[in-house]
Amino acid sequence: MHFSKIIFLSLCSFLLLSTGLDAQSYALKGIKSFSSSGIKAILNDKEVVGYVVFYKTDKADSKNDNYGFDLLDEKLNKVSTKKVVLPRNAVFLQPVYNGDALGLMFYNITKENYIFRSYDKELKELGSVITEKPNKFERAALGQMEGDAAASFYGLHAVPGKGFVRAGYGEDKDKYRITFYDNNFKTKWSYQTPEASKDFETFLISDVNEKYVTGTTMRRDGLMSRKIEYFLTVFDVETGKKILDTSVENAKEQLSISSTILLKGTDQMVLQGEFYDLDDKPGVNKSKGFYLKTYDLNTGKELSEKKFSWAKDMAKLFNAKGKESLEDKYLNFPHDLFKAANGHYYMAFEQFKKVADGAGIAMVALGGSASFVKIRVGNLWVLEMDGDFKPLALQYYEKDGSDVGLPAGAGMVGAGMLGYFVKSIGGFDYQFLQQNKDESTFNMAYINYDREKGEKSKTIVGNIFLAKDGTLNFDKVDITAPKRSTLSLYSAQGSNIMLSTYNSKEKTLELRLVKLNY
Amino acid sequence: MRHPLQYKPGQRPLFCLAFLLFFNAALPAQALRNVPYYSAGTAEVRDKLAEETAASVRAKFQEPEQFNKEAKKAYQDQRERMALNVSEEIRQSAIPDDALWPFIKMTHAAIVAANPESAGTKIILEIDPTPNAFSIGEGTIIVYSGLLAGLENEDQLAFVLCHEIAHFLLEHATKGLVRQVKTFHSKEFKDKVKAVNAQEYNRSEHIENMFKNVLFNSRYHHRDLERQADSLAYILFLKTPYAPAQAQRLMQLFEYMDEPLRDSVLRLENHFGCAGYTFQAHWLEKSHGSVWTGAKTLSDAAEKPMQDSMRTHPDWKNRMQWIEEMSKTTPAGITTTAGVDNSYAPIKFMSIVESVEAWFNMERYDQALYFAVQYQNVYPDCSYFKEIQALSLYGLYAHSKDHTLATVLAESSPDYPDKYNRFLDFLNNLRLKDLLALQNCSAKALEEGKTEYGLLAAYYIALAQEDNGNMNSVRREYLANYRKGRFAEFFRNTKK
Repeated sequence: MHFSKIIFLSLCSFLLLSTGLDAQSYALKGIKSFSSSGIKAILNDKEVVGYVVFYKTDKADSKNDNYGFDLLDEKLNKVSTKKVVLPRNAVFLQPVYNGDALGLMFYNITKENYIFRSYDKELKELGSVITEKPNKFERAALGQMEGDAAASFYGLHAVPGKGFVRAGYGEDKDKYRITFYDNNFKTKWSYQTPEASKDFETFLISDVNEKYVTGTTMRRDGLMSRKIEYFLTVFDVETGKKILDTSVENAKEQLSISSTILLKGTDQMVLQGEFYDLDDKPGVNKSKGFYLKTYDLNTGKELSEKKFSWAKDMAKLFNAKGKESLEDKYLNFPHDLFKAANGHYYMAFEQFKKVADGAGIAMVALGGSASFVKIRVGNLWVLEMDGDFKPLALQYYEKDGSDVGLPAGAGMVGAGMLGYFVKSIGGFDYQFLQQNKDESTFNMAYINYDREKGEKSKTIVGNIFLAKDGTLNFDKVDITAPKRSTLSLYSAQGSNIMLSTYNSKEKTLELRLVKLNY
Repeated sequence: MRHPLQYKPGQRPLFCLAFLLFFNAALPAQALRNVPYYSAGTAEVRDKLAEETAASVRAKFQEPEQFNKEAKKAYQDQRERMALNVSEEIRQSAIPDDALWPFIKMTHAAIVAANPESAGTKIILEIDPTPNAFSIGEGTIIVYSGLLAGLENEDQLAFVLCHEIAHFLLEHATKGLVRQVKTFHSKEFKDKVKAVNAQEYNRSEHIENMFKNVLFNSRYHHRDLERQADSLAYILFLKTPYAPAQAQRLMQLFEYMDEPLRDSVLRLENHFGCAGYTFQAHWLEKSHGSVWTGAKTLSDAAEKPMQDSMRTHPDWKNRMQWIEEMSKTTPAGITTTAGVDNSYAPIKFMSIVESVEAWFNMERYDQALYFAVQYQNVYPDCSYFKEIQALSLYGLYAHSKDHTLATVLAESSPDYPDKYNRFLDFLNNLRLKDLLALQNCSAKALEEGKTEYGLLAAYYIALAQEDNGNMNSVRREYLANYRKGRFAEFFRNTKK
């Protein structure tokens, strides 16, 4: 996380005039400085239910500052303004909503610890906690990540109606800890990798419901070992007991895990990841394709499996451009896997590959410490499958390529992990998935930086929307910022996106909903 | 780029309907109309009114001699801002027609005849859907068409004018500006600001508290001024031939004047859809409300008065009680001749048309459509409302295509009445293809023998369908029949 950009909006409070112009826009005046990370969408499962606009006002005392947050509903109606006192240099990481309580997560850059606060639906404060310093590896990782990536790796996950859960490093670098808090941020249970375990392991939460916390454990037999084994791990939400910790591989194959989703109304989950040849090194070599497996959480048994190889299965589904991309050695990073009310599964992938960075090479040759590797981010595609994972359609969305420079040393990251690294630094164009409560619609958006020769570059948002009639629709809108303005994109309900526009000359901030057509 | 629907509203009186003439013999036949006012010379009249009013503001609002240099400068700046704002509003919105304006001038004349001290006042009518009127302070009283649309009779208008005249006679605006400048330039206030600036911590809270006091005092003062105005207004009113009990009735009307037609049932399926494209049940799906219960009960108590003040007439209950006390003749709760006076009916109708036009001109197609659809039930013979329906649907369609729908269509909100929220949900459920199809349905509902608005609607429908042949044909038809019409310039420009 780039702490050098302190994530707040600071303002003179007596100039603060929040005016709901209409129920599709919201404006503030008197904003001295602005960062897009001061505004976050609040999700209930995958549906946007509101926004938090977080800002700093002034000093409270020698160590703390006064902050405020405006809570808006999904239509940008202002619900409430809350004032909070937080340590100086508190960074707002994320809001999390579990259906009953809103949790806010902050990080104190100075003290290097987390601050959690919770509120009920009427915005009455429920509880708060300040954690101890996380493990230095976690602190080091946070220092490298964008705020949203930090939240996705180490942030809170909503446990519907019950509380919040998060995972991070344990006391030692080779351990992980998972903690479940109730709505008042009282610790209900905490699990840490046993002392006796010799493995180096990390755990990433993937999906949570009112019964289970699921995710991926990555184990290595030594810190520098490059052989990573992937395990599907499931915890019981009530007891914190680990009820499943199973390797997804067998003697014939090597698999990694990208995500898990819990199927609503069942005790089943779907696991998605990539497969490799036996002598490949997952995380190092590029995969041969991706797989989908279904598990019964009561028995831990695998119910079904489907594999899709890039070279054979996916190549025949792609159009000509898509086939070209595979030949051009683009890798495919899976952003989201989810199920819709029509019983179909959808997966969104974004293509990327390493390219040489001429300037970086020159720098290294001159003794500098730049990376000589950069990432070219390419096109996006969405795969639709039926309930048995049989492919129904693949939509390929072309966009202009964008380049992402990697920090020095990052070029050593293996192909298998490279995508996650790019995601952690906010390098992809894919922005979000939003799915309504009954799963009958979803929209996903990406940003395309459109650069035509001889013309000013434009920022275009591409929006893919599943309508209630089952049709998948595409629309795009130009969101290029006007002069002296910064424009940022956020998820929104329906086929909307939410845009914030900060005008540095007028010192105004406006939020508005933009409907994409379908 | 100018949006195609951003035409400049021209003004030209049109033919009357028989029933309007029947009910109002006081208005000359040619003045009654069933479309918004238009006259080619309106811009000149507006400019003149605007300049005169700005000049009178500058003449009336004089800074007190005892002000220091800084305060005088602040006062002059405020005065200039007022003059510019008021003249700009008049330039954009004044209706110098030959029906509504003469009517309210006639009412004003009756009040002045009974109260000669009011002779220094004059009335300007503006096209604006807000049910309100206000006194500028130098003698000009602005009346909005939305207010006329919300009244039942001339007596109620007379009380409104008496109230605004009272503000003028009591010098509320001129004294108010002096008080405001005095407050912010007083030693006491400056000392407070200095003390706040000297704070190292919690400065925002100190500033907020300082301004809260100022705001509270200002609001309290405002309520006091309204009571004074009501008191004097009643005295002025009693000297006129108008019915005193109508003052109380007016206060009753204020409760819901922001929500005209609130009791009428809106059946959307009767207005949207046709044989080729029937009304679809899923258009009526309600958006599931906000998860935040705090949205209905504002947790910040300081914001409650602000919420109340969003109503056009927030203090109507207190004012009604006050007037009842003053009258001592008519107990509260008696409706005293409720319902629209027959002689006032044409005024109300024309004001409603102007107010719907105002929403449309502001590109608030949600509001324009909401009222146009409902008024079709009240005035089924008036084609204007059907034409505005078609035009508003085009406006929504065009903005939807441009991804600017949010600027012309609101989302439902706890601040709106349920009926309006249901309507907004309906509009927000429409897809682009629905908007296009519903436009076509509207076209079928328009009468043959096209009116000006009808032809404009037909043009935009052809534009949406990219039907150049039809567009040209409509253009020709309009220019043949309405060479000097309100949209003539627009159609001549489209040829280019």
